[in-house]
Amino acid sequence: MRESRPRFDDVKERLLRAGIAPRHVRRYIAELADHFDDLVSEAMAGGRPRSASERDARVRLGSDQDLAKVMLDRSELRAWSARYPWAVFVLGPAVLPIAALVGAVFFEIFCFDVIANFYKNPAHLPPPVWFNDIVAAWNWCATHALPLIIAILLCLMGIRQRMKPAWICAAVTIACVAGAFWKLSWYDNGHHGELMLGSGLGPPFPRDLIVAGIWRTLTDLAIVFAVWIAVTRWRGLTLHRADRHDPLLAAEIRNG
Amino acid sequence: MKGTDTLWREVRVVNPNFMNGVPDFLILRLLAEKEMYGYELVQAITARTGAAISLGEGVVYPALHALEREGALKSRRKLVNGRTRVYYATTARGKKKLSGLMVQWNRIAEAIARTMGETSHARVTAAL
Repeated sequence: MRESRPRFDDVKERLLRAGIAPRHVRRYIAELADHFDDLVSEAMAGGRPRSASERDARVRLGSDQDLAKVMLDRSELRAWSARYPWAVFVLGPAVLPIAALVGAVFFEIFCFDVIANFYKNPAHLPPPVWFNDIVAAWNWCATHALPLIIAILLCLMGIRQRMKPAWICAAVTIACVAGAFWKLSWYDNGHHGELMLGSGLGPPFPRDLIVAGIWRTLTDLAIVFAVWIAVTRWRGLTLHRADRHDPLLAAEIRNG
Repeated sequence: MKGTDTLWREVRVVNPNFMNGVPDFLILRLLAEKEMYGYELVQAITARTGAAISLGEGVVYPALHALEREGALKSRRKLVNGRTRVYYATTARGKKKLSGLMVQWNRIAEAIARTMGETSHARVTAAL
């Protein structure tokens, strides 16, 4: 039965483009497919041949337009990103990298605190190299990897929710800029330790941080756009496969 | 004379506002008795209303999602005969909402019945 199951791709695309939350769309499509199977089983149990049962089931379920409309009438099922795109794709990317960095710093301070409680270091020895490496790696992740991950996630979210490219571009650019001009460093000589957080976006505007930030912004943007192109191409390949089953639908998705 | 089924379908087409809130009310009422999945629910609505109200097969799911989102329903996945189905049941908030809806519906139904009675009475008087 599953081979002849309708795909409801058209309904899915319409709902996603209209801003219905992807989790609702996914479940709705799965429930419709199950409902279709139940209708076919019911008709076949009544002695109808399979092809006629499937045809009747599709009619009873309603046209793609009707199925999309009933869902679109429920505005409460729209995703946050569709209702408040400026908050998700402008405010979010500006705040998230900084919030994530602050969170990472506080976690680091907490860890130092816990270690200091257990290891008193009476001889005032500097920490071992491996410990310095772990801290340096953590700091690198907090300042370099986190903003990039946030930008990629925002990009994927925008693609998944069929947002306009302008929103995705804005989100990615803001996230990359907001997260690129920070430097987190740490040292401990056994007597004294310091965790330093510097920004190129505030006074005294250190030149080295600004130059490094510009390069990082450009690198991050290049990486995110590469991911964007890769995902779009992958979707294109999926469409190409769908083309063989339903050329009209594939054309509509492409034009949309 | 038209059957109730045809009449309801006409109501839905001519004045869809008449159907506003009907799916939510029926869904809450039936799910208050036992948990059901979408197809089962559509069958139950058709059977319980004597096919006077037959919701479009796809209409029920957006209503279920919306009710779950507002906390009136809860859902769980259950494996039945090798297939995973999403079963819905009412929550305490859903039962509260249902009792409120029932009061409203009863009031409306009584008002309409009264109006219909007056109209019938006026018609009979005019005919005499």
